[in-house]
Amino acid sequence: MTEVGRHRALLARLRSEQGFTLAELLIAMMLGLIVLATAVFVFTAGIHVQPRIQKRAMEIQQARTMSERMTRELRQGSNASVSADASQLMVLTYVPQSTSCNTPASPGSTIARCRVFYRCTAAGSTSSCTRTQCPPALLAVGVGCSPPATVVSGLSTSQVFTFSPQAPGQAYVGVRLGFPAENGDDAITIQDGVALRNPPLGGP
Amino acid sequence: MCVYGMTMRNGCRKWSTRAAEDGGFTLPVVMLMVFAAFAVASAAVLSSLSAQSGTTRDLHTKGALAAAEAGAHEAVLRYNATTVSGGSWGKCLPTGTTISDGAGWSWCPTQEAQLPDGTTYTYRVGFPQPQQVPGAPLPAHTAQVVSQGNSGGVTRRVDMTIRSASSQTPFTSAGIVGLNSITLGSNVTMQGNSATNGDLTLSTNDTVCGSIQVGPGRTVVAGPPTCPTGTSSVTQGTTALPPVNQGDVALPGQNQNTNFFTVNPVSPTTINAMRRVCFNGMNAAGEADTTTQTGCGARELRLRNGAGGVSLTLNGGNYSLCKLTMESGTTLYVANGAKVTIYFDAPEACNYASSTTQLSMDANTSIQVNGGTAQNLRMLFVGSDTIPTTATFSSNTTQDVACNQDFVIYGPRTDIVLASNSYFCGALAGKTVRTDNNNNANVTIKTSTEATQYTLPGWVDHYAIDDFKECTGVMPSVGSPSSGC
Repeated sequence: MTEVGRHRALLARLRSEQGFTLAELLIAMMLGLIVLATAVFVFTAGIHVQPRIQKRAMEIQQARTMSERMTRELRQGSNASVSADASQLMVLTYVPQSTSCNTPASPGSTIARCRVFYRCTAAGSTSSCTRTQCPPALLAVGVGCSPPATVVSGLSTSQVFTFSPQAPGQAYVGVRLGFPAENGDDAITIQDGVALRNPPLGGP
Repeated sequence: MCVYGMTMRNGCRKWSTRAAEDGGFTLPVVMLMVFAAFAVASAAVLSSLSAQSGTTRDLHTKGALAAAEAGAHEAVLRYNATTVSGGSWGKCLPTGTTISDGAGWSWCPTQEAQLPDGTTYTYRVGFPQPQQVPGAPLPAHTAQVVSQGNSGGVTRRVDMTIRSASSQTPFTSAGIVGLNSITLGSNVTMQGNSATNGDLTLSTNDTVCGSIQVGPGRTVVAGPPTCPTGTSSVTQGTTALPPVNQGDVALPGQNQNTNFFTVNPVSPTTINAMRRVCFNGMNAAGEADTTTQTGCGARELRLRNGAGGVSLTLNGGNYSLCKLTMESGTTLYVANGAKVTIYFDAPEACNYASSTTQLSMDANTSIQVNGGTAQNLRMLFVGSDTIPTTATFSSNTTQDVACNQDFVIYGPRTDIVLASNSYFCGALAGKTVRTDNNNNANVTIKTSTEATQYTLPGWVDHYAIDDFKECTGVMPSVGSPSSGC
């Protein structure tokens, strides 16, 4: 096609009143509405399940944070012990503290050895775990300890801890946080473990 | 497709023309669907990326921590594996000049390395400066390693305190130390400062004098302790005993093991008596004897009963034994003025696969130090973290009855058992210390001033991890690298 011919064809197309027919537009709009309705349906359904998903996501995030914190405390801890029912953990470890083991840490806090207790208990159909910080001299939660703080909830079981003695005086502590399957979601398990790096300070 | 009413030719041509055009409803619908699909896919990708960022950070966190620990362990390995003239403590490996942080520590230059997975670590080794700071932070032959790992921009830092037994004075604050526990039967007398990281367990009629330190959260079981002739006090704290390092003593030619039974004679000198003392598979009569009934194994010293009670006199020096067995009625003497150090090698080095009693004193045996000055006999047990070792003093055994000499037993990884009617005077440290738990143990444990001043041999430093903690923040480029730990 010559340059002149191409120019003419373009002008002819611009002058043309040819467009979409009514039937085409109706069908397109109908299909568009179907797509839009589907999207709205999906969006609405998402809005409805969003709080549940958010709650579960928060629980899982909470569990990851707890798992990270526990493994850190275990890593630099010693004298760990786990109850027979695997629901309680006691460890002597370094934690940030303000003035004593039962006062919250603040920026610039020093770290010192405290005895930390994790207790997981069943509450209804799920279980939750609390963390309590005590002076190193205490072998059980009592006077002088911080108030127990819930660190994870929504667990499928309170049997969270495993304890594997290694060489004399050394141990490997496992942490297993399981979340039940619910509303069509799969069950989720967060599992970690750590060998205690510090030599024991006597006793169990 | 062709439509009824049209000619086949025209109808088909029209539909085929329409189908070939870009116009019509196809384009807007397809564009809308593509847009919707793109939006959904974008949301999914963003959501996935958001979820994976946490996992990625977790992986980097673990990688950074592993790298930091790798750096710290490399530092320890470097100090344990490198022979440095005059000892490695206080020196930088590889060479460098320490810089004081103004807080009592001198720090070696930064060491950096990259691991095969791309993570990096940086570490610095510091030594305390006891001469500059009153109340030094930690004793000599102690070092601090601060190591920082980096993985994918995530940083983690650890602080390890390592300690060598070389030249340490382990009995300064307590002459009787049971690292994990001290357990006493009834009628036991314990005089002198004692310490444990566990409980001190008492029985009826026990007499315990001096300061007692139990572990954090631990107690004096069946206490309080009583001391009719003085006072006793109980505190809580932690005790650390660095593991024994026997240096070169285990090497042939670096000990006096060949002095058996020439320089170190047997008495009486009858053939019957000579056959009752055996070392390293050979008895004192010069006969090979490795039988279980009468002989001995590699680096085992055995004194058998009979022949009126045989004795062996040690005339000084260092010995590296696997086992010392004294059967009933035998005596081990340390010659007047002689200084004897007996190392009990690690069970692994002695090919002991299971729990082993490395020092066994049967009933009515005795180790006696004849005169001389302080620090005459030391028994140092290397021990093991995996194979239990024991030193047992059976009934009626005595060690230095006069209690005017140093008799040191140091085995931070060895259990020490004192049976009924045994008597010990000197300084004693073991993984656990316990006496017979019968109704009348009647054991006496005393500390002597000379023994509690004992300094472990200044062999080449071999460091063991004493403390481990994680730090917050990154390693400061100025000041103390352990800031925030």
